[in-house]
Parts: sequence; structure tokens; C-alpha cells
Amino acid sequence: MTADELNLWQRSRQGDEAARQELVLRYLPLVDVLAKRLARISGAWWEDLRQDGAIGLIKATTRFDPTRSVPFTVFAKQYIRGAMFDSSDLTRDIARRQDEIYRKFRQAEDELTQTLRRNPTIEQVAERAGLTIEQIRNAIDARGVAFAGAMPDAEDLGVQELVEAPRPDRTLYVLEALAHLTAREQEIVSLYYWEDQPHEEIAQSLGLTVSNVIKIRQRAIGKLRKRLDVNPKSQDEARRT
Amino acid sequence: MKPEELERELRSLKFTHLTESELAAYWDHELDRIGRARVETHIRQCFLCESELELVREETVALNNRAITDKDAALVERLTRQMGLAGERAEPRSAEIARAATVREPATEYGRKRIASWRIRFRPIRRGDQSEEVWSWKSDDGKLHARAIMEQDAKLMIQFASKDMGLEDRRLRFRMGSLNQELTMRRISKSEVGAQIAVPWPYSQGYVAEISIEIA
Repeated sequence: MTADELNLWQRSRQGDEAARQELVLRYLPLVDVLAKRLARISGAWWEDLRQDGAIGLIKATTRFDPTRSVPFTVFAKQYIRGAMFDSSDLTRDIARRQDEIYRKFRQAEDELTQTLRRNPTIEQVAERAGLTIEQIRNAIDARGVAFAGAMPDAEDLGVQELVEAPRPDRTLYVLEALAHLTAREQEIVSLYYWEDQPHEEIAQSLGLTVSNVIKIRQRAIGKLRKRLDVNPKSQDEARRT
Repeated sequence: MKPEELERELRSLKFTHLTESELAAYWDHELDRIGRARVETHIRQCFLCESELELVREETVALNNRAITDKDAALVERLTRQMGLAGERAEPRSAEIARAATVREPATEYGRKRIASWRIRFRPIRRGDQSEEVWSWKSDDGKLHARAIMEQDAKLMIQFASKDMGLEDRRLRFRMGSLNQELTMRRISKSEVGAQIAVPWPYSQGYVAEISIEIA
């Protein structure tokens, strides 16, 4: 967030109406994109959806707290979609249908990931869920429909945590611990564990000896374990598994 | 945590879906090295997150290329009033916004005429490759030149140059994806003015960048 925008948020939170309206105008193109996307799926007039979406955007600007970690675009989209899906019976039906498809293919995707031990292709998911690829793509376009009609009206402090599914603690701690490794250690960890490159290949591409790569990787694992083990929550988590 | 548990956890991270915040941060170049590596590894193998990243890209491009019109300002003002949010001072202030938008439109006209949706599609670049010009552009009147050089360290250097000394101290608004930067044209020789900007390398192979330039 730029200093200029932060200043606008601060003024807006102090009741400066002009600042809030300027923020709404800045983010109005987001409403346009979402309205056109939904119009493509539902056949509704995008201008009508745009107007409803703009109401959602205005609501979002009255409830957003810039000191929280969620970006405004992510936060506002929930309100914009909610307002658009509430706009008519037609789109409410569409929302429900898309939500069903989304849940169905996500379940198939989860199951296949467990079985295959990798992310499945869209074709595999479509076959497993008994859907077409187009149905899946449309449901992705309309993602977030589960939120339609479920937005809290009150100024709920927890609302920004609601916009994204929570991650398991342990995943968060590992991601946080990775950020404390050196650039070289991060590079080797990502090539070895995520790109599945053997030590020899990593050594060749980085101009190191194989034993050096192994040492650096082991050092990185040691650092990660140390960092995770001093974190009581991660110990608890590890004990539970 | 035992080493093997940790290793299993690390391996499973590449299958873990990305959040919208992570996708937005990736697109806004706000992730650190390891965060970027994880996003790039995951989107290569996950159609869902790849599709969602494309949606985030579409939204970011729309937000960066926004042009506020009087009609937009009027719509926001009307809805604000309907929602009972507008205070007594709102009307004159939002009218100011509308006026500012009207003034800004002609000011960007010079640039808009020349932006006819430029696109750079990046080729694979390997560490140690020579610096290479990957894009160049000349304004319709031939006064302003721009080019993008891919440096050896995979940084993208965007350079602007002009023989028109009248452009000295003029400001350029350069946008590429979510990067939105203002530059000032400075004298670089007796007969030339120029400006340059280094863009870090967050782009994957085949990435298509939307570019626009406005002159303030």
C-alpha cells in the first residue's frame, strides 16, 4: 500500500467522506471485472451487477482496517460478490449452483491429491467429479460464492480473518521458518523439496560440489528444526501428529 | 519435530493451495524469494491456483489502468447518498473528485494515444546469458524512445530517451503489470534527455506484461 493510499484510509476512518469516495473510485475497476465475469456466467446485465457490486465496495470501504494483514482487494471482493449475488433471484440461483459445483470439484481434487500425492490435472478432476472442464472453469471464475449472503452486517473485528480459509498452524510455522534461512539455503531447499532435483543436478546448476549441497541442505533442515522446536505451538502440533 | 516429519512437511508445501492474499502479494512483487519459489512451483502443477492467479492478474491490470470518469464519480456519489453515508460536506468534495478526473483525462491523452496495448512475452532466460534487448518502442511523433533490456542478473531495465529537450523534467508514469512508477526525464547529454527504471525479476517464462506510459 502506498503512503498516499494509507493516508486516504486514515482520513476515511476519521470520517473524511471525500477520502472514502476517492478510495471507492480507485477500486471501482475491480467491480467492473467481477461484474463482467459474473455476467458471462449468468447472462445478467453487467451494468446492473456493477451497480450492486459498487454498493458492496462502498460497504467494504466502511469496514476495512488497513492495519490488518489482508489486502483491500481480497477483503473487498467478498463484499462485492456478496452484493452482486444478492442482486436478483437469477443470480442467487446461479450462485447456489456454482457453489455446489465448486465444492464438488474441490472435494474430488482433495481426494485425488491424497491418492496421487501430487496435484491432479483438471481433466482428472473433471472425470472424478462427473463435471465438464467448462463447468469447473466457470465455478473457478465465480469463486467465493459460498460467501454470498453470509457477510456479517455488524462492524465485526474478526471479519478480515473470515475472508480466507485458515491454514493449519504447522504449515504457517514452517513457512515462517523458511523465511529465516539464507538465500542459498532457501534456493537449495526449494530445488530439492519442491523441484525434486537431485543433489548432483543442484550442484551443477549452482556451481557447487555435491557434498556442499548436501551440507547446506542439512544445515537448513537443522535451522528449521531448531526454529520450529522453540515454538511451543509447533511442538504441540508435532506431538499431535 | 523429527527430520523426516519436517521433510515430509516441506514436500507437501508444494501441494498446498495458495491463498488469495499470497496470489495478490506474488503479483504485486511483495513476496520474498522462498515465497515466490513456492508460488511458482505450485502454480506450474495446480490448475486451480494457476486459474486464480490469472483472475488476480486480470483484476490488477484493470486497477492499474483505471480511468475515473465523471460518470463513475456520479454513480459513487449517488449510491453513497442512497446508503445514507454522505455527510453534509460530501457533495462539494466529491464534485471536486469529478472535476479532478475531468482535468486528468486530457493530461493523459498524449500517452493514451500511444499505448495501444503493448505486450512483452518473456522468453526463458538463463543465468549467465548476455544482456539482451527484449522490447523497444517509439512514439508516433518519433520523439520518445523506450526499450527494455534483460540484464545478466535477470533484472529488467526499462530505458526512455528523447532528443526533444522540451521533455526535460517532464514526468512519465510507467506501468507494467502491477508496477506503477513515476519517472522524471533528466538531461543525459547536451542533446538528449532520459530516464530508466530497474524492474526485479518476478516473471515466469512465457509471462505476458501489459505496459502503458503516460506523460504528465
